[in-house]
Amino acid sequence: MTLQIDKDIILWITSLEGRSAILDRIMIIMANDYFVPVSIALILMAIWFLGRNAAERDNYQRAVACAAISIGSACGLLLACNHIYRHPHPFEDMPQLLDTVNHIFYPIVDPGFPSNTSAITFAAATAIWQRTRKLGVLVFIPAILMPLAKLYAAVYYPSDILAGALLGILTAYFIYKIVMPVLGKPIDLAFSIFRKLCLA
Amino acid sequence: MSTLQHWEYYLFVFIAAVGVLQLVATYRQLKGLAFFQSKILSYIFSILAIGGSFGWFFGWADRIDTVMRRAALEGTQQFVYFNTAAFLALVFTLILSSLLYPFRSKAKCHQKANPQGLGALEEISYFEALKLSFKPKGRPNDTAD
Repeated sequence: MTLQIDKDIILWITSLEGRSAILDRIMIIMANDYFVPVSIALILMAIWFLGRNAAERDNYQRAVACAAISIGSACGLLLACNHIYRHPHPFEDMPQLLDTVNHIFYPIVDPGFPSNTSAITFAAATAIWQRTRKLGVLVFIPAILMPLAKLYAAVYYPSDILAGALLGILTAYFIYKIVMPVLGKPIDLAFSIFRKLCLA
Repeated sequence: MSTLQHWEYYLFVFIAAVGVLQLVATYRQLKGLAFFQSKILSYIFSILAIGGSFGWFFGWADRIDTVMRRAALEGTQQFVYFNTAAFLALVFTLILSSLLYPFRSKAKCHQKANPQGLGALEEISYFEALKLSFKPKGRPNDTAD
C-alpha cells in the first residue's frame, strides 16, 4: 500500500529533474552506489586517527566502533523488515518515472521499505554524533544527501527514506546506550590489543 | 557490455585510504605515520591521492554515466572489498612510513614521556613504537640515545 502523499511528493520532486544540469549532476554523484558509502567509510577511518590526545582519541575510536556495530545491526534489521513488509518502488507504481530513474540512477531490485541507503548512512552518522557533535555533522551531510538523491531519482518514496532514517537512528541510539555498555569488557579488551599494536 | 571491475574498486579504495591516512597523519602530526617530513608536500600528496583516486574511479571513461548505472558490486561485496583494501592501505602506510622514517628524521628520537599506543607515532616510527610496546617492562629505554 502506497500513501497518496508519498506519490504527490515524489511527483513534485521528480518534476525538478532536468531543469538544472548542475543539480542533476550533483544528484547523479550523490545517488551513486559508491560515492557516499566510500566517503563515509573514509571519514570514519580518518576519525579513528583524528584525536588530539589519548582521551579524545579513545572517544573518537569508540564512536567509530559504535558506528561499525550500528551499521552491521541496521543491515540485520533491514533484512528482517524486508521479509515482513514489502511495497513497490515509485517507478514500479508509476512507470512514467522510469526515464527519471534511468537518468539519475538505475531501477533497483532491492526492497524499497525501509530504504537501506538511509538506514545505513543515518546509523553511521548518529553513532558518531552521539560522541562528537562536530564530526557527527560531517557524517550527517553525506548521510542526508544520498537518500535525498535517491528520492530525486524516484528510487524510493519519502516514507521509505524516513523509515530507513528512523531505523538507522534508533539502531545507533540503542547500540550506544545499551549494547556498548553491555559489551564494555570485550570492547575494552579489543582496544587494549589495538593500543598494544600502537593502532589505538 | 563492460562492467565495473572489482580490482578497480580495490585500487580506488586503496589509494584514497592511503591519501586519507597521510592527510590525518600530517594534520595530527603523527610523524611516525607520515611519508614526508614537509607538511606542504604531505598535504599535496594527500590531495592528489584522494582527488586522483576519486577522479579516476568516477570520471574515467564516463564510468558514472555508464557502468555505474547498473548494479555491479553488492553491499556485502563492497563491505568486504573496502575493508580489505583499507587494511592493506594501513599496512602499506605503516611499513613505508617506518622504512622512510630514518631518512627523513634528522634529529634523533627525543621521547619525552614514553607515550603508548597511537600517541607514540607523534615521536617515533611505527616499527620503533611496536618494539617499545612489546619490550618487557623494567628494562631501560635504549632507543633514546
